Amino acid sequence: MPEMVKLTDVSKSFGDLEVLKNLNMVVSKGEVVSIIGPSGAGKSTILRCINDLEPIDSGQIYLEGVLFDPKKTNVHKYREQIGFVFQSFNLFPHLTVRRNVTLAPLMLKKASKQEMQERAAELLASVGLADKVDAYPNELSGGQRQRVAIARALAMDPKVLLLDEITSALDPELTGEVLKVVSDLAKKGMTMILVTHEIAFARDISDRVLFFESGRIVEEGDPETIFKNPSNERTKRFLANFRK
Amino acid sequence: MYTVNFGDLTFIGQGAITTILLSLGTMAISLPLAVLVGLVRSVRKPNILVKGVQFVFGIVVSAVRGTPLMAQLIFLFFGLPMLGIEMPSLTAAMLGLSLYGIAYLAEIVRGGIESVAEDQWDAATALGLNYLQTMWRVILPQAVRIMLPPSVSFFIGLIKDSSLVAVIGFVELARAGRIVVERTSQSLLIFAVVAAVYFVICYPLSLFSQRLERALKV
Repeated sequence: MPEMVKLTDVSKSFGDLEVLKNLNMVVSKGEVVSIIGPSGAGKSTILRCINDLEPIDSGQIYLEGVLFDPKKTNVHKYREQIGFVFQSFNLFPHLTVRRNVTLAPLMLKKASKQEMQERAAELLASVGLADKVDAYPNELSGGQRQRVAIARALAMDPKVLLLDEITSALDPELTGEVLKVVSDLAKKGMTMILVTHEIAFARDISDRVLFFESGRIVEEGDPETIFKNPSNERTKRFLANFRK
Repeated sequence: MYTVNFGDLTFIGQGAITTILLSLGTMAISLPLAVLVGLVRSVRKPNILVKGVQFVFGIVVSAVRGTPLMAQLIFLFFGLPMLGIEMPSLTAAMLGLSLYGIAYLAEIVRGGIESVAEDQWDAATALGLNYLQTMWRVILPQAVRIMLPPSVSFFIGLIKDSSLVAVIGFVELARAGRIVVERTSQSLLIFAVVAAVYFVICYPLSLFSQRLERALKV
């Protein structure tokens, strides 16, 4: 499979705190990669660096083999190709669900309003929210909001989707509906990188799991190996917390 | 004892109209400029040029907010002529009130923009919107809800504060009242009338502000 996202030697610090240390990773087209690890390890920072929400200090980021050069690349065009779903949904509270989904494509893509609205309706139906197009975000449950956020990201037809702990802010009974949308996307071949604490979900959905700690990838492999038979001591200890 | 005649009341009425026009004129000039100043002051990653402009705006805003409006009016009308800059009292009044309006409203604008949650920037930026697109379509529509009620309050305050232009010889509502009192000695009656006129102008605005706050749920 051709590579979709590649990070080489990426480092990032916040002040004295080194969050990413010479990070290397490759995500292939159609691959679903989960990043797990303790809080504060820099997992979310990886995602925020990939679409330049946080500029990296050094290293290279490639999207489909094209180097992201902060000086030359049109960063807005670059970000259009990368969908991002946030832990706290970050929907636009002043817009209806439909307009949340169509806002960016109507401004940035050359499609008619008619086409975009149909596409939005289609996307919202695919996340099970066909009946909520005219609702405002504050009228929705957390799980519904997060599904709108996914539809909003998909409306830009991204090449890769970055999912940043998208169920962490949800009541446990609402996580299922969101995870189902994500696994549907995986089946459709969407390239995804997810940072997650949902260990069971990561195991079921991922092609590959990265265990990340203190700015480094400590261990990586297919979910079976990582979860059943981790070789690294730190990974073992981390995963032991989830076996009850 | 003099009695109050119809002419005195129309004189007060003219003063009231002057007050209203002054306040409206000030808002008309201040509001767009304040939005501009507030926008510039709230730019998050300013380049060197924007930083310079922010610095200058910061000084002007602080200076205007930190000194009494009356002193500013006196400075404009009586102080500047010593530097050879003379202006008619209407110009001085409008200039003084507008600077005052810009300084206060710009801070309301900036505060409104900055109180929109950071994650709204993240969301719009991640979708590919640039700074101005994000500001215009995502941040400002939310900030306006936060900005409207204090802006209306400021407008109400301005209607009353505009009476200070009397110090540079301008005859607005309060000064008109005083002139009529001097003419008729009916101070209790006239000042009651003047106060009532202010109330009639301001009260609908504060009702409007309250309704606005409820409608915008802030």
